[in-house]
Amino acid sequence: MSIVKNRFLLYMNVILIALILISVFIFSFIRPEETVSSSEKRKLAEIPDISSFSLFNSDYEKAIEKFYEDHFPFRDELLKISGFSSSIKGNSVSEGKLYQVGSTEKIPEKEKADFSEWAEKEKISFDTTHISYDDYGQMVNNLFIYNKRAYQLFGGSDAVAEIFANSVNELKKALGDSITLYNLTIPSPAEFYLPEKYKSLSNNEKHNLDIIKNNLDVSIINVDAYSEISAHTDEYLYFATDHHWTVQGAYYAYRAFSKCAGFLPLSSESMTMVTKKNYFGSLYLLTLDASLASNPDSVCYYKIPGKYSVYWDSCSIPPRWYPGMLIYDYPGCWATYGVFLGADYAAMKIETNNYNNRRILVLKESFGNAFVPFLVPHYEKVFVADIRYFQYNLMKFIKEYKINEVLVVMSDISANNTYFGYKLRNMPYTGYALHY
Amino acid sequence: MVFSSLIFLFIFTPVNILLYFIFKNKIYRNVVLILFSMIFYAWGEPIWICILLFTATADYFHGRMIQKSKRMAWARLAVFSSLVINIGLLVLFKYNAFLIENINYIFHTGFKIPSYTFPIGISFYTFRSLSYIIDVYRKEVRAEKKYHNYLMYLSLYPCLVAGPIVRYSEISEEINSRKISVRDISEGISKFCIGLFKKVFFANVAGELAEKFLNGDLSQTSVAACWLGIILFALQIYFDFSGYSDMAIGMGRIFGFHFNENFSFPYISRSVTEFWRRWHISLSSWLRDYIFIPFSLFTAHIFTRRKYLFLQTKHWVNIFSLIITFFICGFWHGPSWNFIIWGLYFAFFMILESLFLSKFLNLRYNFFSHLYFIFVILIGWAVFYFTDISKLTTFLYALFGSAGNQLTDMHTRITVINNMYWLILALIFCLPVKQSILKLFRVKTVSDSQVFLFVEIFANISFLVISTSLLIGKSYMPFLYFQF
Repeated sequence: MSIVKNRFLLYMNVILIALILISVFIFSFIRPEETVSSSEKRKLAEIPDISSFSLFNSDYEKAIEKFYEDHFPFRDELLKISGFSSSIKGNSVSEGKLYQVGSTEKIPEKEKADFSEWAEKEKISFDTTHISYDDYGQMVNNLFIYNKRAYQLFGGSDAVAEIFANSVNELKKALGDSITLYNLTIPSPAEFYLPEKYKSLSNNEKHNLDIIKNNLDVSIINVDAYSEISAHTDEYLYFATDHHWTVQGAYYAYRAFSKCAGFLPLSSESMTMVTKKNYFGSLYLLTLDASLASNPDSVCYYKIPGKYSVYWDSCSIPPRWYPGMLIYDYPGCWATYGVFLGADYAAMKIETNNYNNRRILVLKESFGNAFVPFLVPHYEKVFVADIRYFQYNLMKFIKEYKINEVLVVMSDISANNTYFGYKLRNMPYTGYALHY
Repeated sequence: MVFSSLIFLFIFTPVNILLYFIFKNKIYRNVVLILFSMIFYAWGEPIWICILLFTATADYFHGRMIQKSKRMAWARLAVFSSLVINIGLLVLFKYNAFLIENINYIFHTGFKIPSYTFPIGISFYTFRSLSYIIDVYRKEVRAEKKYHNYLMYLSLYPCLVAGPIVRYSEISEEINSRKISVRDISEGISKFCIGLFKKVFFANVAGELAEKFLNGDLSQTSVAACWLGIILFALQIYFDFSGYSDMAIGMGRIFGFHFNENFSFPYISRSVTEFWRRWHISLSSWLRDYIFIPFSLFTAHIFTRRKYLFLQTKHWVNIFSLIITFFICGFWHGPSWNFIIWGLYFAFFMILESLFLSKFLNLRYNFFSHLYFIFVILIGWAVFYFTDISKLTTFLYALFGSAGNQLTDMHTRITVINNMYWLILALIFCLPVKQSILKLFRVKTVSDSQVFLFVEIFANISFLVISTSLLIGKSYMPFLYFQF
């Protein structure tokens, strides 16, 4: 009898596992076609073209695997199980939790060879396939979540800070004396909010910012955003679930910039603030951490006074300047950092009715998005170029639009990413013209 | 293709198993296995199928030639030809860069290093093919008459790309006729599921954690971080390799093949000698049978006296044989000097153990022998991990606090706390817990007990679901600046 029961259980083992395999196999082919992941907010991989098949590499096969992973049956439910399995590996409450997340951006293929060559010349050794890593310090690879707040641990170093400062110096050389160049490097929340006990996890950013400042050419105006921000750390300056700063953080940097740029900043009381609740930012999306899920952020923005027209372009030839928005909000729109400018467009143009002959170009990454709207009341024209995606030749762009001020604004974490230094010093010499 | 991919688990395997079991005809089943093995292997860089086919074809004919030749000279020629082809392929594809770099360094030449990658699994299938030829020559097995059977043996995908190094002699009967029972399939499934879990839940996690500690600025890494990093790497390599072997053995069992166990809880060893009887058993037994024993016999003939320099001849034979064997073992693992050093490192300890140390290590209840072994193996893994000798040196200095680095750091502390349950479970899985429990309840195998079977069914489903979810988790890539 026990042998019969054993055989029954042996069959059960086989049948149950076979059922799982067969069910997943069948569902792989009959589930509805989806093109977008609502949980990851991105387009799902598509079936690769057979023309990409090669006998000499596995690109086609990898693309099929990626397609299958993206369209796997019950993917969202399995992601939850994955998150739960990861969360029970140990204690993540008493001492916080460290996450290792990979880079979400990669150096474009066409730039890798040139970037490697430059890095070798600068004697930097690092992995060129990731935009955010080098041997002198880790950028986004470590996140620390403590007390319902996520921190990017700063891994910058003196050497890389010097490289960044030298890149800005090279940019100044190319711009010449007729164009005023400002540099505004933004500290991250780890500098102000990480408890003393955990300070050793993140390198000192004040020191790093001082290295940048001390290595900049005297003709470059360095904006001390650190002092303004550090005087108001009891306010809501940075998101808890996102790696960006809030509009309040950007406001204090704007106040610091106004002192250097020679205009009177608008007071925060003079502007209407709009608040959008329930924002789960990038660091929550990357980790799906349960403590962050219980502490959503709010995205606030100021309604910028005055008349202005906003345009964006993807660096087409000639520029097409499609209508855009300074603040991307509409009824029913969910809270997102994308409310500022709408996206990381390659190029933007904001035309105002302030005919004061001041035309500024902001070279930025995503931190600049919350900052740019504050410039609108003070400039005739504000141009925005995302360092990562801008394709025009910088000097031709400046000449075309008669720009007389340039502001480099980015987080200290980005400044310590050698790729940004590389891009900044190349922008005057590479890229294409605006017209044929 | 790899076992731990979703497309293998849920597309390739169901179709393969369905087509395999539809008909009972043995030729049909072998053809299905050949076809799916070719697809499995080609799912990478398809061009390298030609090398696999070339090796299979060449050694099939070599085997036939050895079997049929009436004169020893022809048989030896066939063996020599097979050696030249197989070792030549390894040199051409795996060791070309190493050879050219060293020739350039020694002779100050400027030969260019070829840029092509080497065919995946070449180290495994060339060794398997060589074992077949030598076994046929030694008359331990008859040469396979049918080409498609030999092709199936060599290309059998469960053991094609990462072992075990299954010898033809072990499965020659099963190649031609296999009886598959529900017990075989059930135990194969269980073995596969636990292998998958080891790979995905332990090896992948350990690898990600280890990388953080071992790839940074080593001179700044704390002593605790260094030790944690190397322990994590030790866990990674064990679970990766043994997990993959388990999956291979499990898949083979489903198809009716009974491969030998490849890992037998190596981390409970009390000596390096014992470790090599428990770690990658198919490789260590291959080296023993085809390198160590023949070399020992050859060396024994050369030494004519009974004693040289205070040591008996048998010890010198053992010393030289161990050096040669572990030189080849190290070199087989990778085309880099650190792997050779790694092999010779073990040779050194095995020599010490054979000369005098084993008497002490094999004492009953000798806890210090475990400590000795763990220490030796962790340093050994450090040598294995760092292909750059200067990084290895820096790491070893940091490991013992000689780099001026601090004893511990917050990052290491938090990592241990964040992963403490996982670490404990990983260490438990390194031990023969299941076997001990079975012994305690006087049960021979899980399949002989209803209770254990019931638990195993639940475990298999859990392993499969958790592993699948973690594989999905790796593909999770949120768009951080969502605009829609």
